[in-house]
Amino acid sequence: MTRTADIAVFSSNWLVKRPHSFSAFAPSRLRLFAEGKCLLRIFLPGVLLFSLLHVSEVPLLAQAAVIADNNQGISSGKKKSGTSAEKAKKKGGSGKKKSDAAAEEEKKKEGAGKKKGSAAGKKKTDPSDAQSQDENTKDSAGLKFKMKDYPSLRFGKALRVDFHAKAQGDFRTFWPERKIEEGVFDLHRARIGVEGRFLKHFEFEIERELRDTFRRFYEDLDEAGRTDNPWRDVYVNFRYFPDFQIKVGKFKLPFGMDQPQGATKLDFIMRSRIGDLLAPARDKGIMAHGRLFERGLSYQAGYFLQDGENARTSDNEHTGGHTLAGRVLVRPLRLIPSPAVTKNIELGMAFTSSNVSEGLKGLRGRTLAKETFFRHMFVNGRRLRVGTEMNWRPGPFSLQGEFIHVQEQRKKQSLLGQDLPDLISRGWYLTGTWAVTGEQKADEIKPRREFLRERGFGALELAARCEQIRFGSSEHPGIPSRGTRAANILGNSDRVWTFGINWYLNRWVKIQANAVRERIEDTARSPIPGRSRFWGRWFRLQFVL
Amino acid sequence: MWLLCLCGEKWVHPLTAIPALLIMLSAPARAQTADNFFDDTILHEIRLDIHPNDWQVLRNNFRSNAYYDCNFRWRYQDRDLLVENVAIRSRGGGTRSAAKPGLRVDFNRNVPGQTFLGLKSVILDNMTQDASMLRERLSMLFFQQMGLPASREAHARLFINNQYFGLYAIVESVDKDFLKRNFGEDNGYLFEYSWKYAYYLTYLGQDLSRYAEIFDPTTHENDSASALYGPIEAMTRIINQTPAADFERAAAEFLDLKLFVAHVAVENFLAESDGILGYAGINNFYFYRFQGKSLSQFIAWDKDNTFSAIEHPILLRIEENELMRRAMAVADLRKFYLETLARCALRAGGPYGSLELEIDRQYNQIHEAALEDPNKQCPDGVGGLKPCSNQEFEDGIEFLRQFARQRSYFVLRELGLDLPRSRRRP
Repeated sequence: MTRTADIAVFSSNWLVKRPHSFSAFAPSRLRLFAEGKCLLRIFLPGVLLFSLLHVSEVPLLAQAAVIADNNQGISSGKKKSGTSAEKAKKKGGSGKKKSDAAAEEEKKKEGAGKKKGSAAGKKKTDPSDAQSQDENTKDSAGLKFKMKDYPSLRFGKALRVDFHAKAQGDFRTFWPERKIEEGVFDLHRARIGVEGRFLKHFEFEIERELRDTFRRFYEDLDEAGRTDNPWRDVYVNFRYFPDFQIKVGKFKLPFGMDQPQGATKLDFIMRSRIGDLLAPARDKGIMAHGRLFERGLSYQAGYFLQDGENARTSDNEHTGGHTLAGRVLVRPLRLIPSPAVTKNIELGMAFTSSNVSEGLKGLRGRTLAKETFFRHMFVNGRRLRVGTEMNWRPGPFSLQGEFIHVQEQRKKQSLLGQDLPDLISRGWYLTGTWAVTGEQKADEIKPRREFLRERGFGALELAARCEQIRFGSSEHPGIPSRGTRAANILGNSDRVWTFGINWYLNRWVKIQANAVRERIEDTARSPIPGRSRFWGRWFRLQFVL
Repeated sequence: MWLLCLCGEKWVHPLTAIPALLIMLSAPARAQTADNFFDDTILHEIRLDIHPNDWQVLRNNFRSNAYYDCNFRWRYQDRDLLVENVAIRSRGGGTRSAAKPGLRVDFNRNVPGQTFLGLKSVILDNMTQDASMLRERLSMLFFQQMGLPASREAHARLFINNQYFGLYAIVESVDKDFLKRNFGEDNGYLFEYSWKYAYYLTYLGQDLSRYAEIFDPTTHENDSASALYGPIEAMTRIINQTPAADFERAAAEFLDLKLFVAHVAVENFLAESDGILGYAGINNFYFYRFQGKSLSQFIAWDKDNTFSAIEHPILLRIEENELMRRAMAVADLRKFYLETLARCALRAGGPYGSLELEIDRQYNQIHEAALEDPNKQCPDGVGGLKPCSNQEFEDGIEFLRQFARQRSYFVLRELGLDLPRSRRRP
């Protein structure tokens, strides 16, 4: 407690002594700040403070919540279910044993589900349903504040609001050395949000990016440097029928595997090139989704106002119009007798279809450092994305791959107003990870013994990814040209190898290091004309509440 | 029965000669070359086929260097030579205009290795700062006549999507082809001077980024800063810090001072207001460092601010420029400068001298096209551009004639000389 208090005093002193420091930065100081002081002064102390708060036996806020629970004689249902899982975890010695135990547990759950009927079974296996069950067991009277992994406000069954925060600080260097848009140090993400449930059947999430707010302290942000839309996920999900739910608002289009993955759960610091450039990302729309056949098949189908934030022009304007999107994921071996380790093999297909109005709006190619190697082309007509994906997580290992093909029409786009062959953008990636410390690979890894808090090392994971993205035309009449109205587009591609180490210190803090090698096919369009190979080192400190 | 014909000194079967005959018949009467493209005895015709939207965007964003696709057609001796997948962009400094954009045409930007008559790029100068539309071409020709390297130029009618858009000057790019033609080598370091502030060749210190800011490399772009700018830093240091006694010897390692002085003399004779001794520091030149050497040379560029005044003083702003000031302190170089000015005056002649005759020849060539030019521009007197009338064009030509008639007298008078009787024409 003393240490906690010391840090609190230090932090408050720092703020009190420099009340005007943010507003009165001289340009030179701004530069120093931009060169990493922000990480040292705000981000790192914040992360350390939070981690150390949780080193003490009972965190301050959680202590109050536990006392309140004890007074009421109620123990959390979630904790109970968590206890059994934790016990199973603790019993499991090696990663293999543990994964077997987890598979057994899953099998049992499935069996129980089958016996009790599909609805009940689904409820038990669905984590969000488990949460609702947890709520059902609680005292429904009164407004309560809980602090476990994150702060949570609850008002019986009627309302539950969980508070979240995410922050990522990046450091990166390149060889050959070059300046990039985001600089060497960068507060990559700083988000706060709430998610929860109200009136039993409605779920919601609201998340806002505060990166610009912090960056304003140490950088002169012009219009071009600002985050285009600070609101991220803002939606309501109606889940009266678990098999058929309706989601309305702004959220990620159901396409691909890498892009829909949460930014804090990525195996690498940067998404794959196809996830970043070809998949559509977020937009406003409505979507039906659900899981059938005991999660053996899940589907998402939606209608969106535009076709995502990734497909924007250089002036940050959306390109595609109204968009239809659909995605189907199956676990084919889940329903037939097969080794337990193969049951979570997941295969999927997805598509989006939208209309793109005439203009310099074709999808463009950019390197990991956001340098353009294939510029926007003139397109006009339909933009069709098709994707296939697979994912397998046997114990501490994972294997994931994806292929995306995008076809954009170029009606009347030649110099003389004739139709041109379609613009084709396609790519793939294959990712493999291994949790060296033996944790089960899920969406993210939860360390068995957290660093400092449980006197452990945390979890360590190795990852590798090979990928390629290529742009060109569907037909090849005439001489290949780099022109934006060329009939035969002279293609260009980026092949990337990424090697990474992820260190999960505890459930809140993750440190990532990546080494990246990129090779651009057409050196005339590479970031440094004439050079094809580029190396990069990336480091990230991440904090998630 | 075999029919034989005599081809050369051998008897061959007539069928074997048919392909050769067909090739001979289909071949143009004369192969076109870059020399034909810069042939200044004719008014050329260039047609660009560009998507109307792109042309509009280029005009709207004339300050941008964004490239647009087009097809390029050059008509020569009633034959069209077409180059497809060419890239064009707006170009220029103060000459940039939405009404009549200056254009850079890149033949090899979209298609690797593509050239037009061996040229990788060409400039279509809009001549917006010159109502007469002759200054640029006259100046470059004069540089060539004085033995200094300068771009070849000719005039052309430019058609955009088959509509006459205006009269342009075709300007040879200063690039590797230019270097090869003028210096017999092309692997040295070529820089385009990029005006950022009034700079007078003073020493900017050891920080090479200061030089990188104003010397824009157009060859060896990926070389290290020390390889690119180290010799420039050394040159300016020598120019500024070497004692007077050693100046000529030390500077000779970096510059042929006589060539430099001659370059300035020609600019001065042409009353250049924005050149080496420009009103706002040095400007409008390329700088070439010969391969494997530290020796460099200035190359004239963008001469549409010449012919500024008939009585342009022959020693104007010499004291401002550090290199020129020190060169003029060397007696031999000062003498050479004055001699070059005198040679310029003699070459230009007085009334009906070679300069005036050249003005008349070019005027007759472009007169009709200039009058029909719907987009011709003139300086508006307050730093901008305005539409130019036919009368202003004629007035501009008349001023050039007056310049040609009187400039030589003025220069020689300043030098204490007089125009020889043989150079005076009735």
